[in-house]
Amino acid sequence: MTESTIAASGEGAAQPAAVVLPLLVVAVIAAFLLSVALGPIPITLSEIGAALTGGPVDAMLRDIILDLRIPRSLMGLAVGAVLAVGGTAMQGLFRNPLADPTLIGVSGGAALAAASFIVFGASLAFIPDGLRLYAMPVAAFLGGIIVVLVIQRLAQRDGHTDIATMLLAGIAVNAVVMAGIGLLTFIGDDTQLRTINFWMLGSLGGSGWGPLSAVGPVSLLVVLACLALARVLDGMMLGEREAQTLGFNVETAKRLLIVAVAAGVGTAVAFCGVIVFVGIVAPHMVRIAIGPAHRPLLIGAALLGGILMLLADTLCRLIVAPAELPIGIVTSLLGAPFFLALLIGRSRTQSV
Amino acid sequence: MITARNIRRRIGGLEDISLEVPAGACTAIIGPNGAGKSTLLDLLAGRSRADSGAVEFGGQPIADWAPLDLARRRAFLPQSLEVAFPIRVMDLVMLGRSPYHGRVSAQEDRAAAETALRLTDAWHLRDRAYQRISGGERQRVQLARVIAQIWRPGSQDGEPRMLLLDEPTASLDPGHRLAVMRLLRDLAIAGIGVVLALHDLNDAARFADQVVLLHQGRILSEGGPADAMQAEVLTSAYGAEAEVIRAGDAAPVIVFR
Repeated sequence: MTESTIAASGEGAAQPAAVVLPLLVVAVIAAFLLSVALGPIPITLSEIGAALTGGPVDAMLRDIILDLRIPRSLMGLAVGAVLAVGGTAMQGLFRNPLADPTLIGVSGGAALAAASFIVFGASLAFIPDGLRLYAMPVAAFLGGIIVVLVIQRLAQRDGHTDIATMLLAGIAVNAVVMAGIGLLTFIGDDTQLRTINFWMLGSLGGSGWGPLSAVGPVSLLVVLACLALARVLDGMMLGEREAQTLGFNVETAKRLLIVAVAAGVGTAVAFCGVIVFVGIVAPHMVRIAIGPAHRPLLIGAALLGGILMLLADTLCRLIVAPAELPIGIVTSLLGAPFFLALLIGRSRTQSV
Repeated sequence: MITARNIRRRIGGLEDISLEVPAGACTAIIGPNGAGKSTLLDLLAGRSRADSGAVEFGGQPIADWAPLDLARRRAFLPQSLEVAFPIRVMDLVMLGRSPYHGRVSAQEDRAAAETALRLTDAWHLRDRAYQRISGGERQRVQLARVIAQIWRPGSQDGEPRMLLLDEPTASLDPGHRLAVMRLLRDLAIAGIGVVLALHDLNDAARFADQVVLLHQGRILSEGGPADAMQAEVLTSAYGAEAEVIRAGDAAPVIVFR
């Protein structure tokens, strides 16, 4: 064996992350510009530039760019990033590439709370009109967090969180939550039923600088928190016991990850409804491209999650313009075939 | 180096075990399936707590060690070799260096991983996907990971170092099995305390300095291989008639009939 092969392999024959991550950054910028430009009213890049720099541009176009399209696209990036990072963290925690944040009940809990608010909210007369806009997101956020805490509580065994029990408890509690939502759609009137359905399918349509000021900072914090725990997630690839034997504080990391993901996904779901598959698809695709090391994986998944959300949202606005398709329909239509391919590919490699 | 005093653990069925595992020696824990070998190894490694009794490592209760300090001095090779996601062999072995993060240079980590992979005859696998190599190759790669975990070049500082292995040769061909047993003996000679659960009694007879025979959660016999592995006690432990063939100074050969 020559010295040069040793040196080359020591560095790793290729560092795919060093190539893929910059490409994803470029793609994020491209998807962002695309999503701002495309819509019922097409906008040119020079008009976007003019609106941003205070140059000469039609006042209505400026309003559309600055108050509708840009906050909406930033919202897409933030929501996509937090869903994908939440998915990455849950896959690492459950040691399963098919895991996503819905497993810990955050989406279901938020959906139940939101549906309750849609059906019973009108009778909550004590809420001042000014706060009504935020009352439903707050209810959804709290609903998500409460259900996560219930599931985590059920999975406590001798002072540690039993991940396998948590998975099973999550399935059971999610079933109860879904029954609750079913009951609410049964007792709700037609308008409420339609609102619940729309919310369950997700949309970035409610975006604006206000919601973004909540979702943006929370998403950033959650991404940073997960990045800080990237090395524990690496150790967890060997199993919880082995990660502990390597000196990692696995119990604390588990709790922090669950709380961070619940808060991040809870906030996103509260404003945008349930958006499926981004949390599974984005981390899986990035893992195939750059490998399982969590620091680059989390960054790549955040970027790709944002890209997927922007592309899906742009499609939603274009397909039935001037109306809008719920984004969950697009992410499911594109995500489900990918998910099936993943399942088939997995069973094939496992049978070998 | 590791001292266990009167340890019991209901789950795993260990009853009142007292044991002294010295540094610089190779200790083999033998016994039939379900005797409690893995449970005992876990307790000695500080990976689980005894219901009663005490385990000390380097003169200090093992639960009092800071997790990272312990991780740099004690490594454990489990029976299960599964890794959750597709990973390159070199990256897997580098996971063994996690406890050194921020303490030693990346080159030193890499050198330790390379040395460990060469010691286990797995260096040629370094760029392969772990999930695509054979079971025996995986076992050698995981062995390299745990060796890398306690590897400190030129360390003669007398700090205790311990390697605990749960059936490290279970999936290996005869050539690699002997190579790994020789490697473990050499690591013991270099001052590391080596403890392993083992099914191959002839390997235990040949390579271990101390043998502990477990049966139904109790120590049935212990001591040097010749003392601990007498025909009668082996027969009663394994439920099959054992014959111990001795020829001069060579290690005894054990045959079951």
